[in-house]
Formats: sequence, C-alpha cells, structure tokens
Amino acid sequence: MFGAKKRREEEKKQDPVVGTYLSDSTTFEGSIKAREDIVIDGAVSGTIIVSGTVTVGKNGMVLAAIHADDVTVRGSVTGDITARETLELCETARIAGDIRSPSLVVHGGAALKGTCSVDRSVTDEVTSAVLKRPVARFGAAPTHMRPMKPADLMTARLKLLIIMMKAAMEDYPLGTFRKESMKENADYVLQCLVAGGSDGAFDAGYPADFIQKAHTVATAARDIADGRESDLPRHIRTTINDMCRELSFNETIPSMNFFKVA
Amino acid sequence: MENVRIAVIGLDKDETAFIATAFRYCVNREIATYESADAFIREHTTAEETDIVIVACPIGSGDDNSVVTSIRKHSPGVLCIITSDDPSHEERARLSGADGFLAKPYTVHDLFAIVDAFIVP
Repeated sequence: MFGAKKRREEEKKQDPVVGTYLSDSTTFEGSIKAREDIVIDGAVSGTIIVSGTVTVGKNGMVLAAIHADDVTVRGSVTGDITARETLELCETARIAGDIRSPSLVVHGGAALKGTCSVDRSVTDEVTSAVLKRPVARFGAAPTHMRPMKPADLMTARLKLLIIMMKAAMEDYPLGTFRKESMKENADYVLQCLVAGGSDGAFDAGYPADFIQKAHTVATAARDIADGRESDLPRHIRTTINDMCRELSFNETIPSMNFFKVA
Repeated sequence: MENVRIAVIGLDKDETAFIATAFRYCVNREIATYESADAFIREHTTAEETDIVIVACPIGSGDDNSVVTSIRKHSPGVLCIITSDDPSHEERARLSGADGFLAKPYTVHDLFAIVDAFIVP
C-alpha cells in the first residue's frame, strides 16, 4: 500500500499538479472517489467525487456527475458539476448539465447547456458527498462504549506481555524497538504490581497467585528484552499458559502478520 | 509495507503510552507521541512525514474545525484513526474524513487488527 503511496508522491514531486492521471487511451466506467487531484484526458462515465481538484483535459470526455473542491474543464462534460470552491470553464470547455459553485470563472468560447448557480450553499453538500464513505471500525460495540479504565489498560498490558512472551517462545524475531517495547511493557506491569492497585490500575480482582505469576513473567520478559535470557525455562512457559487461562485469553497467539512489516 | 511511520496523539499519557508500545512492538519502529493535534502540527516537521495517526483527543466539530482536517492540512495523505468512548463520535469521525474509528474500551487485539487492516501488505 505504501509503496504505491511513495510512488504517487514521487510523481507528484515531478508534476505537482497531477495526483491521478487518466490518459486519452483510458476508458473508465464506474465511481471514482479520490482524495487527491485528478486529471482526466480519457473517457469516464459514472460518478466522480474528489476531495481536491478535478481537471477535465482538452481530450477528456466525461459522462458523469462531478463533485469536487475545484473543477477545471477544458474538454467535454455531460453531467452536473458541483464545485465546492471554484469552477473554471476554459475556452474549449463543452458542458451539458447544471453547474454549481460559489465561484465561477468562464472564459470566452466555453459552451454551456444547462443551468448555472453561483451559490455558497454547495460547500457542505460537496463535503458530505466526498466524505460519506465507510470507516474501518475497531474496538467495543456502540452499546458497550465507555472510557478506558486503568484496569482495562492493565489487562491489555498483561495480554500484550503474554503475546510478546509467546512470540519469543516461538522464536519470532526481536528487533531493537521490539525489545524496547517489551521492556517498557514489562516495567509498566511490574510497577503496577508493586503499586498493588492503589491507583486502581490493578483493581481487576486477580488473586494473589495470579499477581505472582504476572510478576514472574514480566521479570522474564525484561530479562529477554535485556538479552539476559535467551531460552525460556519450562516453568515460565507453564506460568504463561496458566495466565492465559486465568485471563480468559486464547492460549494460541493471535495472527502475527505484523512481523511481516518490521 | 516498509518503514511505516505512526504517531499517536492523546492527552492521557497511560493510554497513549500503551498504544505506542503496542504499535512499536508490531512494526519494530519508534512511534512518535504528541499531547494534542496542535503539538503534532507544531513539533512534527514535514521531513518526518507520517503514514498513520491515531487520534485520542477531542475531534472537533464540522469539517473545517475537525482535528482530521487540521492534521491533513499539515500532513496530506495521512491515514487518521479516531479513538473515542462516545458513540456519537463515530459519525463525526466519518464526516470529518477519518479512515478508521477505534471504539473504547479496546483491546490489544484491536490494535493488532488496525495493523492488519492498514499496514500488513
């Protein structure tokens, strides 16, 4: 994903005007939604919703409604155009449709068949058109949402500790920052255990023997992060599995796909 | 994806630190943390361009005032993930153009799911 992003950024540096370019050899049917400038010299039919500038080049033939921050037309558009900021019709523009924008620039020679509205109210309309799209959702269900309590963070830290130890047991690679985060997490858990829950951080109702196990595992995690221990003793592995059961935590480690990105 | 750059913005130090620790472990890279969107914009230089921002601070209202808009003005193209304990913020996050919404209380698995969704190739 970010390889493509980097490539687009490089292209933008070379030609700061263009984010996405549809050449005159391109035909596209469907809905285009983009968060960057787009230049169309090809044929597009459908809907175009862009947070940025849409430029229809001299060779561009658009059979679509266009919603964008700014629109510049040099070619042919059949469909309504709504521009949030500025709509510019160049001398070669051919429009068949209604146009709306708070700011309109029309050059001599431009042709328009349709109504024209210079209207500031289009701003919000285009904004919501651009932004109405699904958002990836994570975490609690809406009916269960509430602030994070210290105990939530402590439980999450304990689970992260277990995942880190499970990964170490299965010889997943440890890089510099992984070791740092492992040490930092272990230190946080140990500090909370020493504090004894006086600030509510460890008020999760765990029995004393569980707290002892957490202490043992956190200490072992710190040793591994510091490079003092490479092989986990058998009793640590047993302790980790016990903690999983007591935390109602799946004993198998979750997807470790993230190791692929390091 | 290589060398993903993640920043966490939030006033609650324990929460911000936890998110940063979990992501630092996932991607094996330093994770920048900021107390507010203003601090991110003030202290974060364009040379340190960021790919993903986790926003655990007030998200603002309306398009022009939203924290997502402010962040994107400073760092165009950055993926913004809003975290909140208020169900009504989910719609506001969507309207402000956020890419993700992390509802509280979340677990470490939710943070891993974000990595899977946005970072893992």
